Amino acid sequence: MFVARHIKTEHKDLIHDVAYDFYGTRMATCSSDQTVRIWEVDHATGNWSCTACWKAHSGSVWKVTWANPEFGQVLATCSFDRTAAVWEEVVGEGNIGDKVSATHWVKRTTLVDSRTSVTDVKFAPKYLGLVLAACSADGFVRIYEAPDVMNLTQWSLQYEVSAKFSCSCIAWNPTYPRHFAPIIAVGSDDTSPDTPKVLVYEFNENLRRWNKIDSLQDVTEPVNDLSFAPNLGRSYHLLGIAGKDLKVVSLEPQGMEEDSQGATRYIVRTVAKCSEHNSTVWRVAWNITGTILASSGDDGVVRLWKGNYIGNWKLVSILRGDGTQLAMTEAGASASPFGSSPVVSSIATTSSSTATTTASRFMKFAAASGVKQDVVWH
Amino acid sequence: MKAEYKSKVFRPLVTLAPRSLAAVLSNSTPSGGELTTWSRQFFVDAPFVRNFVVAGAEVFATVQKEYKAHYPDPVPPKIVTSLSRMYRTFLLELCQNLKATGDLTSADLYSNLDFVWNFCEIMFLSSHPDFPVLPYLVDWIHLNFDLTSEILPKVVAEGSELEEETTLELWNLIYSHVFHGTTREAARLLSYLGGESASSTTQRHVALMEELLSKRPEFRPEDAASSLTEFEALFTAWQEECVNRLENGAFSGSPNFTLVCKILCGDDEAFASAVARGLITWYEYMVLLLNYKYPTIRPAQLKAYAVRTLQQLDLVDKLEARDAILLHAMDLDVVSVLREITAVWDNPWVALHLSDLIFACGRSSISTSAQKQRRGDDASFDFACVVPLRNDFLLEYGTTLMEHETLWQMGLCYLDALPDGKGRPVIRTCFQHRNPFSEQEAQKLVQIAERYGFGDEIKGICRQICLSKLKRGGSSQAQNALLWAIKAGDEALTTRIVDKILFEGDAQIDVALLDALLANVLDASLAFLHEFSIFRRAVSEGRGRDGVVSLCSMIKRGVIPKRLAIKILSKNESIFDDGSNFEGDDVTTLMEYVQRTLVTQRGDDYNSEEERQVTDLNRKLIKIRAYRIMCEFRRKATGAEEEEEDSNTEFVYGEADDY
Repeated sequence: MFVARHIKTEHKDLIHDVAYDFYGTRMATCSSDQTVRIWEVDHATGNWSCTACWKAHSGSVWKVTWANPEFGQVLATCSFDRTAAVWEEVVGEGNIGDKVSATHWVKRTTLVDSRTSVTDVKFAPKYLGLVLAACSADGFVRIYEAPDVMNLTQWSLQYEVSAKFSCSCIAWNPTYPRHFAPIIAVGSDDTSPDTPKVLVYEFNENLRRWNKIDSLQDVTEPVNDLSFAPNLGRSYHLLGIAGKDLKVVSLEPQGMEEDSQGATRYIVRTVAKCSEHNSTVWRVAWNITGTILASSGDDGVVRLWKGNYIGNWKLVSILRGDGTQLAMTEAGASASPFGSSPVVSSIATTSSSTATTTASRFMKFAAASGVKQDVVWH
Repeated sequence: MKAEYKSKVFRPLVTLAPRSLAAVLSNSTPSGGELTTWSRQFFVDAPFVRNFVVAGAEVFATVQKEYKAHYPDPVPPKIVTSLSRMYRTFLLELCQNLKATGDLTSADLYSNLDFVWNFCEIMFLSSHPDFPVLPYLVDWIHLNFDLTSEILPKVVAEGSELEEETTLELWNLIYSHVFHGTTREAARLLSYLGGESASSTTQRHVALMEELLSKRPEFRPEDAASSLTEFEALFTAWQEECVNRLENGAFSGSPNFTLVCKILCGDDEAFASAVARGLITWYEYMVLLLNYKYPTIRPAQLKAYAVRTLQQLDLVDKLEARDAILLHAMDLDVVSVLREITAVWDNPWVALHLSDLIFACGRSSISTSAQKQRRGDDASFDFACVVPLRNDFLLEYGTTLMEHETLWQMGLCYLDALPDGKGRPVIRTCFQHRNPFSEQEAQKLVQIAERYGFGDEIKGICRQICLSKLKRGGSSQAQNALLWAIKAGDEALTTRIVDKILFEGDAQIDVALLDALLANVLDASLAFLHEFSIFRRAVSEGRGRDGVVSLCSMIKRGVIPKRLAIKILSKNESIFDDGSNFEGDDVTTLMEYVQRTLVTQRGDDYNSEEERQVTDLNRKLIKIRAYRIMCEFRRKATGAEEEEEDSNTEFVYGEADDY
C-alpha cells in the first residue's frame, strides 16, 4: 500500500529531473530556472521539506544525480550551459544523525569539456571509484574520475568516447563485476531514421578502453531514457528503454567469447515491449532489486511493471498525478476481496433459524472491504 | 537556443527509491511543478501485526530447520501440518486482537485467510491422496461453524425444564452437529432432552438415537492403512441399522428424531430440509453430503461433489473470491490458489508461508503425471510451479522486510531460504541500502556483514562513517574517523587521517584510541602507527625510559615519516627532560637522526617556529649527552656506582647546562 504526498516544488520553471539519494531519504530536483533543490523527508511525519536551493548553472539544468554515500553527500548536475558540475554538501560540527542546522552545498568542480549542451550525467557504480559519465549533444561520452575522494576539486577526464550521434541519456550497468565487465548504454534522441538509437559499450580492462558491443537494432525510435536493472544473480542484463514505447532488452554475455576488438559477445533480445502508455515514454526507473520497472509517459501516469516468475512482463499498477492508484490484479475491482457476506455466497434459501447462526465465527467474516489491493501478482 | 526551447515541452518524470517512488506528472508554471511521492506503508506497522510477523518468522525458521534436518527427504506431513497450525494460531490470535479493538474489517480479513488456509492445509498438506478427506473436512467445518459455546450455556442454565425457545435452539444445535458429522457431540446434547421431566417416549427416542449417533463409525486417518476396508464395512452396517430403525418406526411420532435418522440414512429429501434447519453455507452442505453418502471420497474427487452441491443450491453463478480459492484448492491448482490469495490480500505472507510448507512437504517434487495416473482423475496437479513461486514470494517478502526500519533483520531469514545461494546477492543489495544513520546502526550492519563475508560492504559502511566524521572536522571526530578507517581496511584513508591527526593536529592521540589502535593495527603497512601508539602510550603514562626505547626503535627501523619527524620529537619533548631515560647509544641515535633528517635533508625548508624547535631539540640532546658523559666520568672517579646514581639526578641538569 502506498501513501501519496504532494510537494509544491517552487521551481520557477519546468522541472527536468528528480532523483532520490541512495537510501530514499533525500531528493534532488533541477529545473529550467537554473536551480537545484534538495528535499529531505521527516521520518516522523513523512513530509518533505526543501533544505537547500541554489543557482547551479547559467542555463537549464537537465539532470541531477547522487553519488554513492560512501563518497559523502555529493551531487552532479549537467546543463544547457555546456557544463557539468559536481557539488558537495558541507556540514558543521556534530555527530552522525544529529540535526545539523548549517549545511550548504559547495561547487567542487565544473567540467567544461563539452562544446554543446551536456544532456546527462550519471555516477558509476561504486566499485569503480568516484567516476562520473557525462554525455552531450555533440555526440561524446566523457568519463571523469576523482582520484582522491577527499578532494573533489580534482577530476580528470579518463575517457572520451565518440558515439557519433546526439546523446540524450546515459546509463551504467550497476552489476557488481564478478562475472561482467563495466557496461554503459547511451541513448540518442536523433530523429533521423538511419542512425542507431542506443549504443552499448563495455570496458576492456586489459586494453583500458571502451568497446562498442551492440547498437540495439530493434530500437529505431528516439530514446529519452535508459536504465539498467540491478542484476541479483541473473546470467543476463536487463535494460529498460523509454522511447515511443517502453522496451525491456536483455543482454546475455556469451561466456568468454570475444571479437577482434576484445569485446564480449552478447545475445540481445527484446523481452518486453509495452505500449500501454499509448504515448511517448519519458522516463524509466528500476527498484533496487530489479524486479519492478516504473515508467512515466505523456499520458500523465506512472506505470509499474513486473516480470513474473516465468519471465512475462505485466502491468501491475498505475499511479496518477492526483495520488490515486489503480491495481491491476484480477480481483482488484472487487470492493470486498473475499466476497460479500458468506450468506450471499451460500445457500440462497434462508429461514428464520438463520438468526441463530449469525453469531458463528464464520458469519462474522463479513466483507473485508477495507483491504487495499495494491500490487502484485507474480 | 534550440535545445532550450525544446525544454519547455514538459516531460513526466519518475524515480524509485527503496521504500518509495516520486514522480512529476504535472508541471504547471509559474507556480512550479508539483512533485508527488508515494511512500510504501508497511503492513507490519499496523496494530498487532508486528508480533504476528515476528511469530510467523519464528515458525518459518523452524520449517527451514526441519527441511534441512530431513533433506533430501521431505518433511513428514504430520510435522508440516503442525507447523501450519502454528501459523494459523497466529492468524487467529491476530484476528482476536483486532476484534477486541473493534477493527472488524481487518479481523474479518484474517478470519477469512485462516478459513482458506485451513482448507488448503487439508488439500495440500495433511490429507493423504489415497485416503478419505472427510475427517479433515469435519474438523474444518466444526472449527468454523460450531455454535455449542453460544447455545449450550443457555441450555445448561435452564436445567431440565427447558423453555420452548431454548428447546428449539438446542435442536438446531443438535442438527448442526449431525450435519457437520460430529455425531458424538450430538449424542451428548440429546441427554438435555431426555431428562426426568421428559416423556417416556422421548426418553426412549433419546436412548435409541444416542446409541445410533455414538456408534457411527469414524475413519481415523492416523491408522488409515489398516482400517479403510474395515471402515467401509462398518459404515454400511451402521447405516443399514439406521435404515432398519427408521423402517421399524422406532422414532415415529417425533418429527425431529425421524428427520435426524433420515439424515443418518443418507436420505436426499432430508438433506434438502436441512437447509431449513439452519444449515446455511454450501461448505456445510457439501460436508453433510459426504458425511452420510460419500464418506470415503479422496481429496482429488472433492471438486465434483462441491460442484454438485453448488449446482443443487443454484450458487454456481454466485461464487465469491473465497469460494473460487476453495475450488482451486480442490483442483490442487496451487498456482491459482496462491494467485487468488495474493489478489485479495496485498501481502505475500499467506502465499509465501503456504507455498513454503508445500515445498517442505515435498509435494512439489511429486511427478505430475505419476500422480494423475495413480489417482486416475483429471485434477490439475501443477506442483512444479511451487518452487519458482516460493522463490518469488521469498524474494518479495524478504526484500520488503529488509526495507523496514526495525524489522529488517528478519528479512535475512527469508532471503537465506532461497535455494542455491540466490538470496546472497539480494541480501547484499538490500544491505547496501541500509542507511548507517548512527554509529550504533553502523556497528550492527558491520556485524551482520561480517557474518555474510560482505567485505566490500563493511569497507563501504566504515568509509561512509569515517568520511562523514572527517568532514564534520574537529580532532575528536578525526580520531574516531581513524578507527573507522582502520576498520574499513583502507590504508590510504588511514594514512591520510594519521597525517591529519599528527601533522595538522597536535600529534596527540586519546588513550582510548591508543588501546583500540594497539588492538587493531596489525597490518605491516601501518607499522609506524602501531609503534607510534606504543610510544605515545609510554609517554602519556610517564614511562620515559620506555618512550625513549620505542622512539629509538622507530628511528632504527626507519618507519617515521620524514614530514612527521619534527612534530613527533617536538610534541613529545617531555622525554628529553630527564637524562636518566637515556642509556647506551640512545643519545647518539637521536642526534644522528636529528642531524640527518631534520637538518641535512630538509635544508632551509623550515619556518621560524620549526627552526626554533630543531635548535631546542639539539640543545636538549647535547645537554643529555653532557649528562651521560658526566655520569660516566663520576662513576669512574668514585668507583661507587650506587652513590653516583643516587646523587646524580638531583644536580645533573644544572651541571649539564654549565657544561
